[in-house]
Amino acid sequence: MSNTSQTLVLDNELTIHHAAELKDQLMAALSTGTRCLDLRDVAECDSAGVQLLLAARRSAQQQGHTLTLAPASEAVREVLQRYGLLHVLGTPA
Amino acid sequence: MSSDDDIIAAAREGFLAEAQDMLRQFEEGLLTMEQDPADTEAVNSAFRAAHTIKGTAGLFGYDAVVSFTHEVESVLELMRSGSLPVTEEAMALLLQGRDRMELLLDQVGHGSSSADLVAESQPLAQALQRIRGAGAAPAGPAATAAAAAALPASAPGEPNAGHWHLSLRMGVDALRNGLDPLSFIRYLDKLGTVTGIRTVEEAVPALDALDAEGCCLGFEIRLASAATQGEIEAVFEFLAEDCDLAVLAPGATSPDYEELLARRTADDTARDALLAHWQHLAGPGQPPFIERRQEAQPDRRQAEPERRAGTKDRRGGEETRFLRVRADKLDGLIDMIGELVIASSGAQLVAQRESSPAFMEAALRIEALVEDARDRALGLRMVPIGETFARFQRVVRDVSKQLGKDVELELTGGDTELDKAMVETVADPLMHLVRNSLDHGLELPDDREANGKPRQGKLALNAYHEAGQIVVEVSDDGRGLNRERILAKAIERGLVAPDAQLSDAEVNELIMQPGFSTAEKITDISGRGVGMDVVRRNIESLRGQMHIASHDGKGTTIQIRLPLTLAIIDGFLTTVGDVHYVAPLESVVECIETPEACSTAGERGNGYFDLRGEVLPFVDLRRHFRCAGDAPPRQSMVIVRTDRTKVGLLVDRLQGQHQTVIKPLSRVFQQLRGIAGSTILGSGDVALVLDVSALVAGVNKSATAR
Repeated sequence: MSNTSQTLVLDNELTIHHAAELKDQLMAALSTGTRCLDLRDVAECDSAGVQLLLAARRSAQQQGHTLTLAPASEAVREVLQRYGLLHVLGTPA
Repeated sequence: MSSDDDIIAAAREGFLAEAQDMLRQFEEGLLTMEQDPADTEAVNSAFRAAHTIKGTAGLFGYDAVVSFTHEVESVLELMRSGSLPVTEEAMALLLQGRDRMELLLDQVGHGSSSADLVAESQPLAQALQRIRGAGAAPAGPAATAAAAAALPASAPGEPNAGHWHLSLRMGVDALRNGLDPLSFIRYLDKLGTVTGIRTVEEAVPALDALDAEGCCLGFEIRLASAATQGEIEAVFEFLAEDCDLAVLAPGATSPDYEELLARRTADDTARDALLAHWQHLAGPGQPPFIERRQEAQPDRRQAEPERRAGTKDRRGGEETRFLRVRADKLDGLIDMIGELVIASSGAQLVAQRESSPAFMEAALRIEALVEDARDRALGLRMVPIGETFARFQRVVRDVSKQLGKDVELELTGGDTELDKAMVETVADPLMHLVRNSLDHGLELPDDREANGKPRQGKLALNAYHEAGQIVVEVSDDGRGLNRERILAKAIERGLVAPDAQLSDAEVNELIMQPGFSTAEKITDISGRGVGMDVVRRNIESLRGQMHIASHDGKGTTIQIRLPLTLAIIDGFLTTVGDVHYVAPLESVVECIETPEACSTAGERGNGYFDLRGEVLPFVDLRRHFRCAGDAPPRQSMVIVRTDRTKVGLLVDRLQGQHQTVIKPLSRVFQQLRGIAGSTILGSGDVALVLDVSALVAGVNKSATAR
């Protein structure tokens, strides 16, 4: 599955400072067929970032797709773990 | 400038003033943390201060301040939640961070923005990021491992024992207000173990409907903790206006959960979803929290407004206790009251002339009231010296570290009040004294031990009121002043005759002579010999005095005495021709008959005379100020003291003591040398306040010119 889907590499901070631009970026990516987010270079992640990921997942679902995160940086994993969301946004390590 | 600009400028000033307070709070918090890393209140206070600065700076769009403060705040946040240890390195970086924040704020104050400063801040910001990374990385897995271990362990036996249930719904503006629930949840680790957390994401819409900076997250948390309800709620206190929090105690019963469920959910779907979260939190095999009953009525409105009202009240109470007033408004008021004092004594004069007892009585009553009003108005300018003292915590910490000394700073009398202007002027001299004590006074720990003293030295700052003066003392329990060394140095410098017999006090005074330093090596802390004389000059320019007491090997105490305020002085009134001159009373040494040499000095108006074997300069005020008319046959001389010498002032008549409200000279007269200000006497006459040091400087100049 992963070789047919497109991957969007995010290397900005997943934080409120970039939330608005990230939202646009994610929307654009989803509409062009991205099904996977590569977060391995994301140095920082906060609640706004988590919320964006959740919203992106929901958007994908509405369009009938599954959005996967693969892989995620330690910073992102820590936050997701903290929020009990690792399984929800299921990321292969 | 439009009125909008005015408002923004005023708001900016308010911001900067608040930021200064916050920086102080920040520094205090850090220093307390350094002493006692377990002091959570100190961490919280520093965190809040940084957070407030960041938040307000954000409102004004000072991005440089925001982004830098963010780094500082993030480090503190981790310390607060216990995932980053309070190390010496981290504290040093945070303190540097504080200085950097101040620089960035200064730049805002000047209305400039230099890219250099921002660039310079980068290495520090990165260093802060680095220590944050070092702390956060190992903490994450460790915490989750603990949580994972706790979850199955708690399942058998008592299902809910020691487990709190926390239910949070974030307000939409929480993130925008800089309040990230993540940090509060991290902080819960301090109170216990988060055994389960469910992020309620049902409210999160798809991307196209998402307000990227709004917050629509909620959390259901299970916390195993021995903390009290109050302690748990306090964690979220800061968030109170931006979240809806419900805390259920470990023993909460089904009806409690039912009530919460009703409060949280509007329809059955949401109800089922939340119940599913709870089920998941409680773990498999646990009974459902409540039976599924459809008739539960929502009454969420009741509990909520009450709680919110409570938090608001508490905050409001703090804020209304102080009022920020522009300094010039206050000065205007004090000026006005000064006029009133004069007008009232004028009224009394008229009453006396009219010899009307009723008028006299009224005038006296007014005078009493006016004086009371004056004292109160002057009181408004008074601020506690404690804030100035608190600054020294940092200095003592930094300098003693640098010197390898272990010093405890003891502050007492911080609530002693003195004039705001004075507080600012006295800070520098105090700094000098504190540095001197640290550098020369206090010994290295090993030396102290060898001398039978505790390794930790003590430096004390103390302030109190005494006889209408403020006394500020800087004392240390260091090595004290070495009489022999000072004397030898003084003789070498030719300051005293080799065979002079000096009392201890006189020897101690010697170190306040210009260019005097006994330090064998010059350090960058002090010891360049420009110290004590400058300090003394500064103190004397405030019309204060300085005394030194020292016991060899036991320590030194330096006492500074200052008048309560600069606006009112006790003056000594004299006249020359028709003009009144006032000299500060505390500078007057004695009054003598005019010596022969002075009356025959001729047109020059100044020179030297012999006072019991001492050669002193004198100034004939009549000639100096080019007073018209002839001198009376008998003149008097007032001997006044200045910082370095005494000087005789030749005047026509002595009028005695007079309390004076000093008014600054208008700009036109500011070039006048020898006049410090003016005052109005009860009769309506103007009197000029003499600037004795300037007069003497003038004399010395003309003497060397010859």
